[in-house]
This record gives sequence, structure tokens and C-alpha cells, in this order.
Amino acid sequence: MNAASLARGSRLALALVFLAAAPQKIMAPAEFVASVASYLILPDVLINFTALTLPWLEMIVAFLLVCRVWTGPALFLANAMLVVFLGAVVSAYVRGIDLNCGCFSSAPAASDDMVFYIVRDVIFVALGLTAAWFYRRGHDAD
Amino acid sequence: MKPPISFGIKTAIILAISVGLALAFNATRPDRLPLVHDPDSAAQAAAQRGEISITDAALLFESGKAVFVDAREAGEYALGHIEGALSLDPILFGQEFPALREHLEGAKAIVTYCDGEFCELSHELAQQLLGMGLQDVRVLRNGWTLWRDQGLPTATGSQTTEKTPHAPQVEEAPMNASSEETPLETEPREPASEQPAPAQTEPLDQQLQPAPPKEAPADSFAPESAPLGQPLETAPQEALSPNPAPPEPEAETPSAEPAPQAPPSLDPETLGEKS
Repeated sequence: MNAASLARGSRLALALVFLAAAPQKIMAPAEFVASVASYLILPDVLINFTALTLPWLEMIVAFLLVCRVWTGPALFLANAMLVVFLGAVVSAYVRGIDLNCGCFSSAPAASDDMVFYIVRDVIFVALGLTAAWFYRRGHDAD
Repeated sequence: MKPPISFGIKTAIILAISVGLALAFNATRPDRLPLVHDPDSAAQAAAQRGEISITDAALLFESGKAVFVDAREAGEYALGHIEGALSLDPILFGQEFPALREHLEGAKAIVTYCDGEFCELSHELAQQLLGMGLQDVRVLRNGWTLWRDQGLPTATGSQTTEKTPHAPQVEEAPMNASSEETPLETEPREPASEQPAPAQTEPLDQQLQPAPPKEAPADSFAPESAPLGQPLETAPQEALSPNPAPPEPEAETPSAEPAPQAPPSLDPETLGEKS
């Protein structure tokens, strides 16, 4: 597998992550508002705006990555979002906020799920940085 | 020859398009959200989903008119649940409901709960109960965590089919032999024999005084900090508590006195449709 294939694969995988995440949040904004609010990071005045615009940003970034249009800015925004998401989850974990549904586990076990979310987001960040690295090296230029 | 668009401008254009699409899409939605988070509208939306605030749930608990139903699986129920709550897993609804039907049909209000902001089990259970013809079914979102953090009465132990749900009008209300009631009270209880009030629990305002919650202060039960109850149809406190607990001087402190308009209406039509 050559560098160009890896570059294309990582870019498309990154796009797939955002394509999978965005539609549900776009179609159910009220639930996403509750999700954003539960992190207790943003002030109230920014919660709705963030919850409304973030999924659309994900969708457009994914679209640009798939079409390989403005790949550089799209990769930058994708990585910025992933880093922010990771920071938010870690912050919630450190502050003891249970973001887990808790439907099938009692509260003490919730931390296991938070660790899962953190590990998953670290993998996504690694994926995004990999795609950006290949792009910067010219293996996946526009 | 066109000048190349800089990296920063491209990024700004992507952001602007995202914001524009988001606002346009939101404007076309029938249930569009306000751009600025409004706690009142959030509470209204919660009420329309058939949800009840922790404040109102606690008042219903105190009144003894509501049956609380735990939608989590039986193992989690055994580890800890709202005092007097029934265990009814929506996944096993068909098997478990017949044994509990009598208790539920006798209740004037039913409050379902599970645990976690995004837990849907309580909503699923509420829909199933409404489907069985029961009325006035409410959902206490994130119920177990909120209830426990507020220091409200809890119990442990598994459920037996013959157990009696929380009903203060029932004199003895034995949960079951394995249950361990853990109301957070420090004051001695009044004799229950002549009291029509709840036999198991102190009035809510008294519970809050000796047992300040771990994370929320006792005055969090003040109406201004419980916006979820505001948009609901309101009724005087007496409507929910026809058999009030014996008056005690400590209970009259204004800071902990429940709001007169806090309890939601128990109108089954309204609530049933909302859920």
C-alpha cells in the first residue's frame, strides 16, 4: 500500500466519521442542545448556536473531504473540531460529569464508558492528523 | 488570472456557509430552536415531552399520590432505587406488567425514571404504560441521579411481586424483607398511627434541612431554580397534598417551603397526550 492510498484512505475515513455523526444531530437539534449543555462548558447564550451550527460544519467538512475540494482548510477544521471534542470529553471526565446514558450500567461504572469515549476520540484525532500529515507531504493534494 | 484564495479566507468561507445553512435550516423547521438558549422554553419543551422536574416529582412523592416506576434493569434497581418505586423493565414489559397492573392502576400519577440525561428507557416505559390505558404518566429525566443527589429517600433490594408501592396512605407499606430503606433523615419521626400523612417519610422540606444534598443546596427546591415546573399547568400545593404532614415549626422556614404553584397539574388528559 503506497502513500497515496494511505492518504486517500485516511481522508475518506475522516469524512466518514463526520458523515456518520452529523445527520442525527441536524435532524434532532433539541437532543443535541441537551448534549452540548450537559458538558457544562459553554455559557447558555452559546449552547443553541453551537448545537445548531456544529453539525452543519461537520457535514460540509465531510463533503469537502470526499470531493477533495479545499482539502487543506477542511482538514484544519476537522482536526480542530476533533481536538475540541476530545478536550470536552476529557474535561467532563476530569470534572466527574457523567455523559454516559447510564441506561444499562449503574453510575459507578459510567467512568468506563467515558474512557471508551476518550480512547475513541484519540483515535479520531490520530486519524485526522494522519490525513493532514499526508496532505502536507503532498501525497493527497487537491 | 484569478488570485488564489488564502487558507484563512477559505476557512472563513466554510464557517460562514455552515452558519448560514444551519440558520436557514433551523428557520424552516416547525420546531425551530431559538438562537439563544432559553431555560423557560427548554422547560416547556420538557413538559411537552411529558417530563417532570425533580422538584415536582419530590412533591408528588411527598403527597403519596404517585407511584414511581424504575425502568432500569432489575440488577440496578436492587443496588438502589427511589423509596417505594416499582421495578418494571420496558424490555420485559409484557412479562412484568400483569403483576404490577393493580398497583399502577390504583395510582393517581405514575412517574417513570431511569438514569442519565440521555436514557430513553423511562420514556419507552411511559409510552408502554400509556398504551395500556394508564393515565397521568410522567418521566423524571435522569431520575435516579437527581433523586440521589438531592438526598431524597432511597432504598435498596430487589423487588418482590407482592410488594406494595410507595403509598403513604397505606399504613405499613412493607417493601419486602430484603429492602433497606435509607431515607436521609435526622429528626425523629412522628408516630404514624394518627397521621394521615406519609408514614415512611418526613415532609420534603424537613428532609432537605437535615440532609443537604451533596451537590445541590437545599434551596434548590425553590421555584426560581426549578424552571421545569414553571410552564406546567399549576395547582395549589394543597391539591397535591390533601393529607399534609403534621405541621412542625421547622417546616415553616420560608427557604425550604415548597412553592405554592410548583406541582404540575395532574390532569390525565393533558398529561397523557403530552407524553
